[in-house]
Amino acid sequence: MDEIVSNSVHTDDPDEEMARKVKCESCGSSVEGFFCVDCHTILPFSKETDYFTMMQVEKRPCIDLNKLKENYLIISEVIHPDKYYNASADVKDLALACSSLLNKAYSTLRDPKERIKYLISIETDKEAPVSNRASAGTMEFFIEASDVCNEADTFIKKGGSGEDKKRELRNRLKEYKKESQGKWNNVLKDIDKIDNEWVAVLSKEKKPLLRRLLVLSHELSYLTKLQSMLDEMMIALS
Amino acid sequence: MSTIIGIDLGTTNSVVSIIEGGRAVVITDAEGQRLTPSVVAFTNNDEPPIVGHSANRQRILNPRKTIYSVKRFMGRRGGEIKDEDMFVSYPVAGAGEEPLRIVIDDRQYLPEDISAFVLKKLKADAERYLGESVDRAVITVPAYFNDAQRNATKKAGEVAGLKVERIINEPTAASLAYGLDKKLDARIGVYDLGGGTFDISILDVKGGIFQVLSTCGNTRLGGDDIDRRLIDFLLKKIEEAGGGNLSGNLFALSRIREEAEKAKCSLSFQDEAEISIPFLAPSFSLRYRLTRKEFEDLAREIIERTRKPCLQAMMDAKLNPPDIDEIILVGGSTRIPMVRELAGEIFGKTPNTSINPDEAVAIGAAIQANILSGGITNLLLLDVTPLSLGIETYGGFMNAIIPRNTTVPTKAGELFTTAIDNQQAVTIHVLQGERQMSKDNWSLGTFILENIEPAPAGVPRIGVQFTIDADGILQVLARDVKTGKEKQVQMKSTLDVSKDVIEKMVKESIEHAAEDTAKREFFDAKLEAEKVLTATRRGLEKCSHLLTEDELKVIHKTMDEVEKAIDDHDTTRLKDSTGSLNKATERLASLLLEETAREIVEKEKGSSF
Repeated sequence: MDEIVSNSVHTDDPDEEMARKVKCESCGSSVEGFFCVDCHTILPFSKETDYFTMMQVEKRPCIDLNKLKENYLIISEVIHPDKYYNASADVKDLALACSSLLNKAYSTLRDPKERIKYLISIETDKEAPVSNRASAGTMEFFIEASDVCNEADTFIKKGGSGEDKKRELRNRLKEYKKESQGKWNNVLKDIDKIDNEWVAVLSKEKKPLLRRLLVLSHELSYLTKLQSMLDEMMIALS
Repeated sequence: MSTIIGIDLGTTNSVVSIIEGGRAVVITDAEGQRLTPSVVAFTNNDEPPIVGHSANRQRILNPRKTIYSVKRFMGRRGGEIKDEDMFVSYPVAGAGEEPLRIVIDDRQYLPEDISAFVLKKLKADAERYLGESVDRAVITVPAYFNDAQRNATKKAGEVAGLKVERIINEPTAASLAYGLDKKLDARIGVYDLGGGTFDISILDVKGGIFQVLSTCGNTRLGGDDIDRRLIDFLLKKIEEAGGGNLSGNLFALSRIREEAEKAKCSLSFQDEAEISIPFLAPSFSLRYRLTRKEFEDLAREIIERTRKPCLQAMMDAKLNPPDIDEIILVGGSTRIPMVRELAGEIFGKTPNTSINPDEAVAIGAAIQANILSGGITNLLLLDVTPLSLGIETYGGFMNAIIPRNTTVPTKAGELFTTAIDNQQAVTIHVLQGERQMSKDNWSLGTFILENIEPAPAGVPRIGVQFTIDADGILQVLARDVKTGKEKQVQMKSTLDVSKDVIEKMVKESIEHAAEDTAKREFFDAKLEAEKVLTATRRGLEKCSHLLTEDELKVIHKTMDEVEKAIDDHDTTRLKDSTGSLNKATERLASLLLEETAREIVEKEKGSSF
């Protein structure tokens, strides 16, 4: 299990590095993260540990997803409750708590929309506002595509007979799905650009970047919602 | 520590397995059979019911008291079941909000009580194999089972005297069995079509970690439905051929059902199946040659219903068919060529049929059991919650807090507020399901958070946190953020049965634990013998004039031997003599068939007038 320790992120900020070092409660060794290699004990995540630190990936808009997955699996293997099935109730509770948090961290960082919202929340110390509008272009596209979804929904509720109509609707939905994926990819490219600037600026000067990220996160929210609507309708028409 | 056994509690068949020295062993019963039909037959009021093959064998003779496919009713309310799903040969009670019950004479059983009898038998088989008592198990359920169905399964275990260490999902279990001795680095789909349920799960397997990406399914779709189509078809054919309307004749229906199932199975490797049921009505016998084409026309619509869940699972995993490396087939119904074709078509690749579709799930349960007891350390299962969990919000809407396909264990929370001024209490209604309106989803229960500080609507902040552990048990915590007042509840949706009743059942099951296997063996042999004797007598009535004197002498002598062995309670002699009688009546059986065929032909001639 040495990998976990060696995989840790090295930042230039000595304070941050220290913050993640804690003393193992059962044997007193100084450890990073949440697992004491010396005595094989799980340590609780500290409240201050953010998901990026926890998953041992860099805290920035774009992350190495392969590394994220790899770390997730490595840490899961260590802290999953199944590994402590016959342990004391305290250790079991700890394994459960850590494992839940780990799953949450992984699912948040894996999804670009959730990752960015989370990054904004920890960098600005408040939740990203949820109900904001996307750009005019995206809103218009969203409404247009929703209309097709509604049409498909009405068609299905009326019994959904007529192969031609079905096929036609399916094709239109497919087109919108394709277009929304294109839009999604464009947003990711914009995030990429911000990511490039991210490392170049000092932490005090990140505010404008965060504002830009917030706008992009709204775009992704609408596109996510739209894609699941399109998916649902395409399945219903299959 | 005692061994934890792995059990696949199936709609049609159940299997028990353990890991021994790192290898999976499927435990056979006293007769050497690996599959135990999930069939429970009640004979007399006072005697414990018989279970498995022996129960299955007498299904035709005792249709009202032979319980099969009970898994379909587990954790369900009367109002949830459509009439066509009630199509079973035994009486089922329970309407609206009531849990479904099986009525045997003057007693009523919950589906889990019936399943408990099956579990008890598997437990006894495992104990005989291991030579020690067994009191812990991992039991599998369809991935798409809801909370109530899972709890009913857990309760069945309790009633059978088993501590259920974990409920795991059938397709995930099958994937463990598939990957046990392989170093997998692949994305796999497990297509599991059993007797009564369908599941599709997509997993990412790497370095011994089995991570479920998505799961979907239908808990009321399986081989049973295909049987039903076939039965309806045969009933129509019978009526056309002048056999009358037999749809209300339980005895006839049971026989048709048995033959329909047989024909379905043989059509998996033959192009035609001969269905022959003598004397369905006093003067009517059925003989029908069913082609695979006809069968497929009947089954197509049912099999096609597996498509949507597959597409849904792929979309939820954000994958397309080419992203999935293998499709593993599990469940007896995946032997049907048409099912294989469809699975292949949906996923764009030839399905992998290398694992035993009947046993993989039980083996997977045994692997998970062994992981929990610390035996296998290089495998780990990361499963998901199949259905979204949330609460009802103003207007009767469901607000998901933990979306479907979230890896467990997990914790998630959301902030809510009050709907009216000075509201001092909120009712938290916990729901499971994917529908927009809360009334369309499964209700796990409600609880009330009181003493909220009076404030205008929309001001109080109420935090609701959901926690699901690796067992899938949900804890809900509600807290008034301002006052810190909170309430924590463990949600467990069970259909109303008092604890006393369960305790009583547990006690009874322990009392019956020392059931005499020798007695059971004799009983099984007796049933078989009586079946052969009845058939022989019927044959002699019709065709004795066609036999030689010597043949008749041998048959009568053997019949006497069988009857004597029954009277003497001699199991060994009974089995031997039944075997001899079977042999001695071979020619009689074929004569009877010819005679029956002749009658049919004559009847058809007659009916043309």
